[in-house]
Amino acid sequence: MHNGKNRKELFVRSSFFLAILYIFSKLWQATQFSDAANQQSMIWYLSVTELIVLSVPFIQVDIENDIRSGDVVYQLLKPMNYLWLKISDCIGSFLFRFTVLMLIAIPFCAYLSGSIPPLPILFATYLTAGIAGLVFILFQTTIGLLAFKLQDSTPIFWVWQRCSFLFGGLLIPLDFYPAYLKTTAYFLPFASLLYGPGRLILSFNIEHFFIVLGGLLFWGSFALFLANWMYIRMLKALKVNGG
Amino acid sequence: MSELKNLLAHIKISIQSTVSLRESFLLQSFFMLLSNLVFFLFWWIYFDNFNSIKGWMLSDIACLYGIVNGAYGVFSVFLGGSRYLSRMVFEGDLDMLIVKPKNLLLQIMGSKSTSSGWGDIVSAAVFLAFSGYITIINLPFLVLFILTACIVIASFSIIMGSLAFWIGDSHALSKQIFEFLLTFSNYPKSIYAGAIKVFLLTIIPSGFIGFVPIETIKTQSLSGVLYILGFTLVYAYCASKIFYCGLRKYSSGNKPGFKV
Repeated sequence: MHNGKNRKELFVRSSFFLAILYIFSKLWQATQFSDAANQQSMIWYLSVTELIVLSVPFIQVDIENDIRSGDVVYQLLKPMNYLWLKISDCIGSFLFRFTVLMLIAIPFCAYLSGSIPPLPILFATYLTAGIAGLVFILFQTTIGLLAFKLQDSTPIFWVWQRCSFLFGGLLIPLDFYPAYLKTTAYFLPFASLLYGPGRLILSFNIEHFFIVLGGLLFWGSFALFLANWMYIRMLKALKVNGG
Repeated sequence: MSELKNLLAHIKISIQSTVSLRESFLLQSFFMLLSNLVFFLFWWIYFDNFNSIKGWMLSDIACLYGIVNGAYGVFSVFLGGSRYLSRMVFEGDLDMLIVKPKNLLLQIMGSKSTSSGWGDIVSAAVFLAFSGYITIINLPFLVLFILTACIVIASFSIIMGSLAFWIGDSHALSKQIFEFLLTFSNYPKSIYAGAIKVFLLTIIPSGFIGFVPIETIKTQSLSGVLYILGFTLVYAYCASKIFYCGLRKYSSGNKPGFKV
């Protein structure tokens, strides 16, 4: 299977994932919360946000390599849209990583927190987390396509990644942020991509679930439009300038 | 003395080669600084909501980040070659260095410099200035602990790299365990207890990079300084012994190449 070759990398990611969960479980244990339930749910929150971040493959690096090496020209000859070829390949890797890391995270978090959320909540949370991962892939595809203009899209990716950590509430939910930072975060996609699914496990209600789903659909459509628009521009430029 | 001169010459060439790509150098340094600041923001938000972590305040964390980033920055810029040791061993790249009549370990350490390390050094200065720990009394200790932490990081990196002498392709494993060293060093002592604390003071010595120096500065303890110095020297000696013990198992890659 295609993903078999990434076994080593998955092992590395899994061990890092477990180490981070362990450290933060200790940090939250050492923190004075008003009630113990918060302490337990914080570790579950982190497991969801980290799961999304660690499962998304670096599709932008793949696309950038194709563009820089000129391989994109040969790949365009294939009887399949290059953009969808890359995205579908990446989704395959993502689903594999996501499933493995999720299966590791659930028992480990149950052990660390001494509790396990009800099954429907877990299902709803991981469903939205999976969709959030797919939206991440679409955004990162757009970043990869930028290499066609910039040659090196790495700096743009770094900005994107750091912003997602900060405005997405990767380590701590946005509820703890100062008001102005929280408001800024709500206007950006990152809150829907990380905080949205993570919050479901903190305090679930069906209304919030649909709000998160709506947010993901909105940003997913936006990212898809952006990726497609960038791709069309890339094709036009290729036709004018040659490969 | 001639070994030191040789190491400095290696470092100079490595730094010149990274700085020569000016745009990439500036970008990498800037993004490393940005990355460190983003992660520090977590603590800023944390302490905005909670008072302390068993006696550790935001200023202590800022000092911790200052020492860890400073040590890692100095390591990456001046001694970063050891991070590639496992790959060099596995791919037979030591051939070109081993024939030179100079200290092999120093040649390896000085052979690579990383641009992003400068970003870490700048971050360290920012964090230490913010922490309020920079006083006339503390300054020599801060410099000393950045250097000892840098030596511990370099020694750990050599030990991890040397695994390749015994188990072959260990680059991913070495890299991951090395990541653990840094990850565990970025958190306060008060969250670790029991066996894990012993683990962080022995097998993965993150404690000597992060929380032990901070506790020593906070308590102004002379025995703490001696403890850190003693550990650093013994650890560096062990790393060197492990490397040279492993080197006996090294087999040439028969790889044709050229290196200045």
